Amino acid sequence: MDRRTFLTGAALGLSGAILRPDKLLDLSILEGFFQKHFTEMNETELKAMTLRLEHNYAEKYHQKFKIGHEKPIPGVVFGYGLDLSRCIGCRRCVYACVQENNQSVDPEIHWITVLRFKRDEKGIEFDEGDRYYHPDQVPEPGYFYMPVQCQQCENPPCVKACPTQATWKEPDGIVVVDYDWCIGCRYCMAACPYEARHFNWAEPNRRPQQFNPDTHYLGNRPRYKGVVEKCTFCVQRTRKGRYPACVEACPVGARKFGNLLDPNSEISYAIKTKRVFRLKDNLNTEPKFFYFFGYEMKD
Amino acid sequence: MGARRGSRARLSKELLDPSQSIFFRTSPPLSSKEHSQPEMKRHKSNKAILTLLCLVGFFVISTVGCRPVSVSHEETSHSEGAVSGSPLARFQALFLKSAEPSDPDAFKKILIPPPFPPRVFPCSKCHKYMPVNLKPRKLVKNHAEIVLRHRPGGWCFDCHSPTDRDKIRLANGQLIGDEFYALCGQCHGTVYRDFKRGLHGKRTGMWNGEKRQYRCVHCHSPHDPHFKPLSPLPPPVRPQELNRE
Ligand code: HEC
Ligand code: HEC
Ligand code: HEC
Ligand code: HEC
Repeated sequence: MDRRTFLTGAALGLSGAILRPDKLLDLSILEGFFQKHFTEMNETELKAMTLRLEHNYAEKYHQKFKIGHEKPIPGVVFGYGLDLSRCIGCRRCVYACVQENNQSVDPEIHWITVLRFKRDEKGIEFDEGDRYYHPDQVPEPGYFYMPVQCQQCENPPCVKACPTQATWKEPDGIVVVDYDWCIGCRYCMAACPYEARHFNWAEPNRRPQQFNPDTHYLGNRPRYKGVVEKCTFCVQRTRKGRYPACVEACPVGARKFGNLLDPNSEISYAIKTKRVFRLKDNLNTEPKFFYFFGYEMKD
Repeated sequence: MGARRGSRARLSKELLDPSQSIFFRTSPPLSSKEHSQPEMKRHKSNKAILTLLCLVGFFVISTVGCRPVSVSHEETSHSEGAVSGSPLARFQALFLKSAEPSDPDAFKKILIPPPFPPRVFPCSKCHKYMPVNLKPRKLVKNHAEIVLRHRPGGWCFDCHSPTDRDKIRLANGQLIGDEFYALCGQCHGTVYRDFKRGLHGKRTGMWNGEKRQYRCVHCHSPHDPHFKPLSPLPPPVRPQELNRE
């Protein structure tokens, strides 16, 4: 039983039916339901909760999980840069992300969508973005590629749309989802202008014991059917100082990541020295995901 | 709930208005339409319940004393109006204090060892007994696989030393060992500058700690430097193919 089914139960209870006392007696289930909001829990409560989840996941997936709850690092706001003049559209990032973040493989969920655009004298033809391209080799002459994932907005419309506080922006700028609070209403998906949120229409389906066991509560722990998920800049890695999986996977080095508050970080250097732009800047979402051109493109 | 629906409608109108959309126009958003009918039916019937749930959810949350929190915006945001201009300019001004240059040679310590092609014996083993031939030509007796597709009009001795045949040579005559980036940097100044700061090329490891950096020659053959094409991994499944439960 998850929060949503419980709430259904509660709703029915309120509308006349009597809550079955035998159900109520199972305290371990109740513990989950009356869980405080993640950001309000103290260290002991967090430990107890993640232990309980580790136990549940082990039973469900026959695999041992570690569910971390690392806090934001003080003085750090994460930023991401993507060099469009290098990206060759090979999709290595897409699958490295799936591997790292335990997305469902079937039905398929990708947090990164790579769009292919035609390049011509008029400039970028944004109307013609194609995500299903599959030539033998990339890059193809006359095209360029633009990977899109969660832009980690400073001003995230998805957060405002959530009726249950199941998604919020952390102090290090990462927008996270608490899968135990999400009721699957998908308002956030409608609000996101970047199509960066994805819905679990089914239980996550991967080959047995093919989950990445090194997880974070707000990141890549296995999701439930009926909840929304999204890119977290690999919170389970980046809060421990590591680069996100997509940065590590990119063969051309187009992906840059670091602390926006550190003037010497790669991302700060990119913003300072290159012409950068942000997707749909006019919407005032203030993304912390910057696209730039490492050099002027030629054909 | 009426208020919430209203705000949702406003949001989606602003944000999903096709005239506002820079892209995603021809590939329509993954809308509920594209999902299978039975799935949709179930969700429609759930809708009423969900609406109720939102209310009940709030009720439950507030009665059991778990105040819903809005996570501090203050830490990362900034007072409006302090800096004016485009959102981006504002963002840059606020987030990027003046960057003092880091140790310009720091990158040397994190370079991954170069990928030497297997070399049977040193160049001088043969070239000791051969006169230097400065004439640009197609090589046949040896090195037939090396075809220069680099600087138009360039030749081997732009980079290889004619006197010490085992070594690479800079323009000023200085012989170098593994530091080919210094060679490349002579002609590709901007790229080299970015490379030193980790912008051109690739770093792995820790964003705030120990890193490793790839060298120019990991990605570019000195003789034929254009990055070699790759075969792409499979495209995503089209929505209509996702219709299975
Ligand atoms: C097996 C013997 C052999 C080895 C080892 C060898 N070369 Fe050569 N190299 C030759 C021959 C033979 C030619 C002349 C090819 C021709 O003229 O068609 C040549 C030509 C060249 C040339 C063209 C200029 C000139 O003087 O003819 C360069 C530059 C060169 N080699 C560099 C190298 C370097 C660098 C290495 C070591 C990585 C190396 N060679 C190792 C046999 C060798
Ligand atoms: C732009 C500079 C540059 C030019 C021009 C150049 N080389 Fe090289 N070459 C290098 C560098 C750098 C290496 C790597 C050094 C090493 O592996 O020891 C190298 C390696 C080699 C090697 C050993 C590795 C291999 O690829 O087999 C041979 C042989 C060689 N060069 C021959 C030649 C010949 C022959 C020419 C002219 C036709 C030439 N090079 C032109 C920079 C250059
Ligand atoms: C003597 C000067 C010189 C040196 C040394 C040199 N290059 Fe170049 N390189 C050039 C020039 C000139 C071009 C431009 C060719 C063009 O635009 O067609 C070029 C082009 C390139 C390109 C673009 C190729 C393409 O088709 O996209 C790459 C990549 C490159 N060099 C890498 C390197 C690397 C790596 C090294 C060091 C091993 C190096 N270069 C050393 C002069 C040099
Ligand atoms: C992680 C891989 C990687 C490394 C390391 C790397 N490059 Fe590149 N470089 C690329 C890619 C990808 C491109 C774009 C495709 C192309 O033009 O080959 C590129 C383009 C270039 C170009 C031509 C385009 C431009 O920006 O003017 C030059 C010149 C170049 N690189 C030089 C270098 C030099 C010099 C080094 C080392 C100091 C280096 N690269 C290190 C991946 C790399």
